Amino acid sequence: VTSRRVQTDEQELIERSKAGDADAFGELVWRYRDTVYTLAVRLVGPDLAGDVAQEALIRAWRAMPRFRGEAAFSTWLHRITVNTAWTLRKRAARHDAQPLDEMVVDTTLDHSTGPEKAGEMIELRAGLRRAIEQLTPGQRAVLVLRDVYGWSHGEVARELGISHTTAKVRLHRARKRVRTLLEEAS
Amino acid sequence: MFDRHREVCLRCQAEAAQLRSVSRDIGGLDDEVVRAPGGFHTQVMATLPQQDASDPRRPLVMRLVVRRAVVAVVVAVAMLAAILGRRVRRKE
Repeated sequence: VTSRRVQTDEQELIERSKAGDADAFGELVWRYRDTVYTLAVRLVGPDLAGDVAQEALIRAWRAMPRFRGEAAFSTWLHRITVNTAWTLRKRAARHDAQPLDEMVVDTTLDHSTGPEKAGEMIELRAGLRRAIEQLTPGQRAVLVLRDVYGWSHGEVARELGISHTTAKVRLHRARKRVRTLLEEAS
Repeated sequence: MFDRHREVCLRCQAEAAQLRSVSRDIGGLDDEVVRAPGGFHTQVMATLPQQDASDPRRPLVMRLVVRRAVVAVVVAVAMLAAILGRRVRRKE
């Protein structure tokens, strides 16, 4: 019941935002700020994530009248964020990334398996984050969207404006590079 | 062809298995949330412009193509105007 109420509430906020109600959009920004920011961090690194997330939300606001609800609002926001990050990727390449480990990361890591196992998981995740940060922007985008967010090859290719084959090749190279970096680190 | 090769090549099979394992590990990062910095919401709300109907997902390439097409049309019109102007001046 609560979930349905939240959904209805969100639908109302979307309709009001489409009609130009900035307060309603502000509520949506509040709800999705961490989601959008997290995706931005994964795609361009922490230094540029704020700019990308902010620009993505501004673009979303501008485009609200065109949102038809064919996809979930969160999916639509994700796509805008990906496109914004992709547009700004050249700026990302010029930045020295601040390590993600220094940022606040919330996780629902399962600690029921014991502290040792949980410790290993934390270490593995930190290693993975560091490895992903060392990929090229193109490889990182494909890897994050496919492996973390579960997008299909077709969706990844479409949103990044690359061919299906390029998406697959980049994914393969990105996974290999991550594996090599993990091996080197251990 | 590659799939057929992989069916018989143990090295490629081992590599594929390793990469699947890497992929699974990376997939485990999906529950992590990086919190937006304090003041982020206020900052976004302070910079909201007027709404418009432009598509935010229109790819960069598309935008560049449109921009270049507009420049090409403007140049063509300017050249045409210059040629016509010269002809008119000659007739005079």
